[in-house]
Amino acid sequence: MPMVDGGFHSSRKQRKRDEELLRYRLDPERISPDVVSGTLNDDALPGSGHNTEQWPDDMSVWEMPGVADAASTMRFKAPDSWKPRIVAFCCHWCTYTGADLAGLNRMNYPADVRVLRVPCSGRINPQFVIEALNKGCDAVLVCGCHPGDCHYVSGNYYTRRRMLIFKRLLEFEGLEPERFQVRWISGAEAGKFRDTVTEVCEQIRKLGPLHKDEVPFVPADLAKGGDRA
Amino acid sequence: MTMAEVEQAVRTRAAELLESGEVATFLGWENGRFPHQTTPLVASTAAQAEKLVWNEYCVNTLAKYTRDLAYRGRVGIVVRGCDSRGIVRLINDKEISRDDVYLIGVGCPGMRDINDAPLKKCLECRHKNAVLFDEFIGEKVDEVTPDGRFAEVEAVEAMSQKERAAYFERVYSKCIRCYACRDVCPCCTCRECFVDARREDWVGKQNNLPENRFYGITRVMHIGDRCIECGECERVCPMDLPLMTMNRKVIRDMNDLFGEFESGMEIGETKEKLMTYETSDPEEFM
Amino acid sequence: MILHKGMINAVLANLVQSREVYVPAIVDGVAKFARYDGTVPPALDLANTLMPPKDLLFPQTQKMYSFHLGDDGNYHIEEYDESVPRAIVGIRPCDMRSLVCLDDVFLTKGFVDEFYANAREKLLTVCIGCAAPAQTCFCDSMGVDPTDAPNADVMLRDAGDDWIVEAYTPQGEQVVEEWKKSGYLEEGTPEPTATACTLKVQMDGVKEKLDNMFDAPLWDDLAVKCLNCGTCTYVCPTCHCFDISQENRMKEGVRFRCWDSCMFSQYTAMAGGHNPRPQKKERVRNRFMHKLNYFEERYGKTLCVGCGRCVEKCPVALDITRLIDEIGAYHD
Repeated sequence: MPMVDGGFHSSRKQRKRDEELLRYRLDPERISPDVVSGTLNDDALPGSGHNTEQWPDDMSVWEMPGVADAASTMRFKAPDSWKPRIVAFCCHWCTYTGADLAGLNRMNYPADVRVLRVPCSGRINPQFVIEALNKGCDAVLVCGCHPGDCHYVSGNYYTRRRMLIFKRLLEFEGLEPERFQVRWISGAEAGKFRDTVTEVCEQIRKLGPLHKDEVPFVPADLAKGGDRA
Repeated sequence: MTMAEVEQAVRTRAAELLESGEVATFLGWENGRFPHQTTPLVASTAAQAEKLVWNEYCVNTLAKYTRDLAYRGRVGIVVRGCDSRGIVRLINDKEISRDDVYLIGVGCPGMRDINDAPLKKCLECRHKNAVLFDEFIGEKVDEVTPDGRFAEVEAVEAMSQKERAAYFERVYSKCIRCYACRDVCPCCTCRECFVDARREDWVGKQNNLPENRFYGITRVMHIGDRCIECGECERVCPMDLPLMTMNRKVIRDMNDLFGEFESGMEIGETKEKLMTYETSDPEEFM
Repeated sequence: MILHKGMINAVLANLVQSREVYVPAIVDGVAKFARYDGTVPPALDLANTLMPPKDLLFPQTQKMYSFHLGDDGNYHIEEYDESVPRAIVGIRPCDMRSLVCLDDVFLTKGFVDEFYANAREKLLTVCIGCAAPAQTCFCDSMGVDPTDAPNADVMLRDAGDDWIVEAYTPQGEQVVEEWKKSGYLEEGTPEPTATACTLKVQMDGVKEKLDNMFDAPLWDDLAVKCLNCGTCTYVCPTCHCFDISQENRMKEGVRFRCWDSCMFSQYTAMAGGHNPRPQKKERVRNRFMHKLNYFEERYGKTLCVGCGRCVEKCPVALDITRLIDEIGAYHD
C-alpha cells in the first residue's frame, strides 16, 4: 500500500515532496537525525525470520489445521525492545494543523505516533481502524475539529455518532478502551495535541503490545534499526 | 382462523393473483423433503400455488428474494412481521419499490426447527404481525413483547475485558467465512460487497482471526442502524455464532445515545440514527 | 480380528505416540475433526461431523511460499511444507470416498499438487463403518457402502460392541500388527451390522440426462431460493475449489491458497471485469452440473458422496436429492 499521502493537495509538487520526505525517512544511510513530527519506529526486528512456531500447547483443542488458526498468515516474534506503534488519523483542517503548530513550537512529545492526514474526521471508515489494529498497530487515535467547527460543516457530527457506536462496539469485542480513542483537537491547540499524544503513548506503554505472541510482519527495510527522529 | 385455514386462504389468493396476472410470481414456502421442514417456493402458475404451505416450520424470511424476482413483474409474497420489516428495509434502501410487491400479511405464532424446538429468533420476536401489507389474512396475533431483548448483550458486557476478548476470539476462530449471514440479511444488498472486492492486503480471503474479525465487525457497522432483528443471520450460521448479540449491542447503544428507533417499520423513515445527527449529541471526546 | 469398542482410547493413545491423531469431536458446539490430545473426548457416536475431513489434506488457508527481498537485491523464496504424519480415526466411508475424488483432482491428470500429496502420503486413515446413518445420509445411492471403505488403511466395521478390524493397505497392515502385538485385538468373527440409508435417490442415467439439460428451465426456479452463500461448498467433503492470493507489505510476503466457493459472485470474475457466471442461476447450475455431470465426464465418478451435510445445513433447504429426483422426472 503506498504510504505517500497524495490526498488533499495532490499536486505533483506536493506528491514529489511527500515522496522525498518518505525516502528521507526510510534511508538507512542517514546519520544525523532531524526533528520531524510523527516519525517511524526504530524497532530492531528480525530481518526475515519466518517463524512457524507451533501454536501453544493449551490451545491444542482448537487445532484444526488451516481453519482459522487464530493467527495472522505471517507470524513473527514480538521484538524485545518494544515501542508502541500508534496511528493517529488527523483531519487536515484542524488536528493536522495543530500538530504542525506543535512542531513549529518545538514541543516535545513521544515519537511513537504516526500521523495520517485525512481531509475530515468524517472520512474515517471503521475499516481503517480495524485494519490498523490488525496490521500491527497497538492503538488508533482519531482526531478532528471540534463539533461545530468542521470545515465541511457537518462532517464531524457524523463522525461523532459513528465513533460513539464504533468505540463501544470495539470495547464490547474485548479491545482495551485506551487502544481506540477519539479527540477533538483544533488547529490552535498544539498543546492539546502534545498532551494527547503523550498521554496516549504512556497509556499504551503501560498496556503493552496488542499482538503479544505474533506481530504481523513489518517490511524488512523498516526493521533495520537506527534512530530516525 | 387456524394455520391450516390461513394456508388454504393463501393458496386460493395466490392462485387468483397469478391467474389474473396481478403478480408474475408468488413467494411462499412449500414442504421440504423431511417432515417438519419447509423450503422457499417461487410459484409462477396457479398449479404451483397449490404447493404453498403455512405452518410452524416456515423458518425462512422471504423478503430478500423479492429483489431477485422483481424483474419478472410484480411479486406476491406472504409476509409476517420479520418479512414485512425486511420489505420495508428493502424499499427504504431503494432496492425495490413499493409497487414491485403485493403483500399478503399474516400473523405469526412463532416457528420451529426440524427438531420441533422453537426458533430463537421467534422467541425474541417483537413484531409478529405484518407491519406493512396490502391485505391481511387471518387474525392478528397478540403482540407480546418478550423481555430481555438485550440480555445477551448485558451478559457479555458483564464479563471482564479479558474474558470478552477471549469470547470473541473463539467466535471469530469458529467462523468459516461462508457469508451465509451476509447473503440472508435483508440489509446486505450491496452490489459489490467489501469482501468480494479483491483487496488482498486490505481484507483477504485467508481464514484467520484478524481477517474474520475484520469481516464480522465491519458487517455489523455496515448494517449500522438498519438491522431489523429478524435473526436470520444467527439461524443460518453453520457454526452457530452469536451474531445477533453484536447487532443488538449496536441497536441498544443507538437507542441509549440517540433515542429509540426501530428499523424497517415505515416506508420513508427519516430518523435513522447513523445517517442523521443532532448538534446536541452526547459529547465524550473532548 | 476384532477390536472391542471400549479399547478405542488405548488405540488412540498408541497412535498418538507416532503421529498427530484427529478424531471426530464436538468442539465448542461444532462437530469437526479435532486433534486428539486427551482433553476433548472423541465423539464416535455421531453419524458424521459437520465439518468435513478435507481440511487435513487441503486446509482452508494454506501457506504456499514466502518471498522477501534480500540484502543482495535478489528475491528469496521459501516453500512451506507443513505436512506431518497424521492419523484420522473415525472417518466414515462417505468421507473415504471423498478422498478418492480429491486424490483424482490433486494427484492425477498430469499434475501433482505437492501440498496435497505430502499430506496425503503421511495420512493414516482408520475408517469406522456406520451402524446408524442419519436421516440426511444417502451414500448407498451414490455407490458408497456405509459399512465399508475399500481405500481405507484400516477398516473398522461395526459389529455391535466390537469392530471387525481389516487392513487394506501395507501401512494399515503395519498398524494392525502393532495393535495385535499390544494386545488390543481379540479373535472373533461376529456378524457385521447391516445397515442402509433411509434416504434414497435414483442415480441411473442422471449424468446422461444432464448432458442435455444445460438450458433447462428448472435451474431458474431452483436458483431463486439459493442464497449463494458458501455453506454447502464448505461443508462438502469433495468441494475443492481454491483461490490463490498473497499477503504482502513492501518487499516481503506470503503466497497462500484458500478455499473458494463457486457460489460466490466473484468466483469467475476476470481481470477486465467480465464474469461468465454473473447471476445466481449460472452458479447454482454450475455447482450441480459439476457434482453430477462434469466430474463424471472427467474422472468417471460422481463428485457427490451422499454424506448429506449440505442437505442438513443449507439455510434454505435446497436439497440435492430433490434435484436428482427432478432430473429423473424431467422430460424435454
